[in-house]
Amino acid sequence: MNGPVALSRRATLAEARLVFAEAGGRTRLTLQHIPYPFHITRPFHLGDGPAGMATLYLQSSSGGIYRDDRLSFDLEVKPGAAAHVTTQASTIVHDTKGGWAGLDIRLRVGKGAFLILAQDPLVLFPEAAMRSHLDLVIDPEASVILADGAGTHDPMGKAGRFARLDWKTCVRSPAEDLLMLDCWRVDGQDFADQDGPLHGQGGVGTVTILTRKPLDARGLEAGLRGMGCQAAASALPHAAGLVLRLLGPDGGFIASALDTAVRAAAALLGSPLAPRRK
Amino acid sequence: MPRIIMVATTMTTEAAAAWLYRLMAWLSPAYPVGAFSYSHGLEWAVEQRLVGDRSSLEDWLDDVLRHGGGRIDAILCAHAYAAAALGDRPTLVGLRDLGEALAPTRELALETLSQGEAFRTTTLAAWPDLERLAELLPDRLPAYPIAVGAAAAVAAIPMLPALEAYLHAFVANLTSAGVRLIPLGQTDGQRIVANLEPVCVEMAEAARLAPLDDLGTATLMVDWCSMRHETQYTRLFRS
Repeated sequence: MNGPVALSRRATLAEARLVFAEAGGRTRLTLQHIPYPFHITRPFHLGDGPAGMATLYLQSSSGGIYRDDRLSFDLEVKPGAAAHVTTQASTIVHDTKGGWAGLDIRLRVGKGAFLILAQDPLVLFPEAAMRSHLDLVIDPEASVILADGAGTHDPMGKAGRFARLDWKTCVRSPAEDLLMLDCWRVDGQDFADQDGPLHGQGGVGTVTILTRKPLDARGLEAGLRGMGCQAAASALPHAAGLVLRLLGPDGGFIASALDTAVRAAAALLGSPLAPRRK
Repeated sequence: MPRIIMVATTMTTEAAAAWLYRLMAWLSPAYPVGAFSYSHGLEWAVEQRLVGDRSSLEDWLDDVLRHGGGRIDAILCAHAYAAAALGDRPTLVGLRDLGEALAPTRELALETLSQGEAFRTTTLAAWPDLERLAELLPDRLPAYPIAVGAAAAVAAIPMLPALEAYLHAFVANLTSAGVRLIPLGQTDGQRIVANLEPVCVEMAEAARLAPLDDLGTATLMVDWCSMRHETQYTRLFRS
């Protein structure tokens, strides 16, 4: 997925950018560059989370991700600001017809800042090949919750498999110290195989909590019992926080579990969230 | 002429005997790195009946080798070997940080870092002629494959046998864990080790050529089992 290749004429190349900053006790969106296919709502304040936190929905106006799309999204949360950025719904990754589609997310979270980036699970259609890489630089005094995942869907019911999923989350300090690196590389056949590395699970999700505050992994797990997913949490390297893994029968279960897990994570950080409509 | 060939052969045999002896010692179950106390999440998998017989244990280990920790370890070992062979300490430091950052759970981090430090300490104590290893591997805990790869390079052990031996030890240890947990007969355990021989050989060869960008696993079920193992009621293993 890394070599030079001629992109199709219909490929979408887009770089979006958002910057949040604190002013007058509220977090405000101070810079936005949102080209097609990205779309955002106006930020609003629900009065939940850290004081003055702004909530914003991120959407796709293209109906999904397609072959040769190369999308990137830069998000900065300035010191002292608090933002909750979430997708409106799951994003479909369509058949990439032998090519692949890529989404690169770059996050920078400053001192004392707070960020939730909650993405609904990708829906991988048959023959979809997707690369999703996220790079986060986090100040030691910031807190971040990341939520993402993937599930499969075969609309024609022909037992089609996605081609490949290449997923990376890399977290560094401002001094470039590598705090954690989470990389998955899975073929659709292995994903679906009952005897494969996921034992036939149809959906996967991850919630990563980056913070220096001491957290209870068991408390996070307990909140997800009865959700129809297998959930387990553990400490990250370098005492950087916690990671929660979700495995479920399909993306729908994962989407619900991710929503619950994000709210549980926010509560653990002392910043409980109000429910958000999707 | 035949005499020269015989001398050359003898020298090659002696050189091979030297590195082979060390490789066998370092990756022997008797080497005091505590390998017997780690199950890589297998203890929870058996508890949950995800693994319950010879066939499922072999499938589980095949996945770990091809898609999980076995593959990652082999790539890290190969890169550590290459860096140590060049005396490239900054790259080794970077690999050490990478090995630690890649650990997906608390217990898998413990498994690799504890074994890595035990390996480094024991090897430096028992083979003091490898003082170069102490210069290359700094004082913070190296992940196990980093320590083994660096030591193999310093001792002039060829890379491919070192990788195969590492993966064999990895498989043999987890097979032994499975034999104790399920339980299985010893012969069935050896059948698993034998059946996974071509996989180990294949993954070692692939690791020798793999760039670091190729790092990535698909064994999320192993991660989940390792996490759940943290609160398993009755445990024989530390991971």
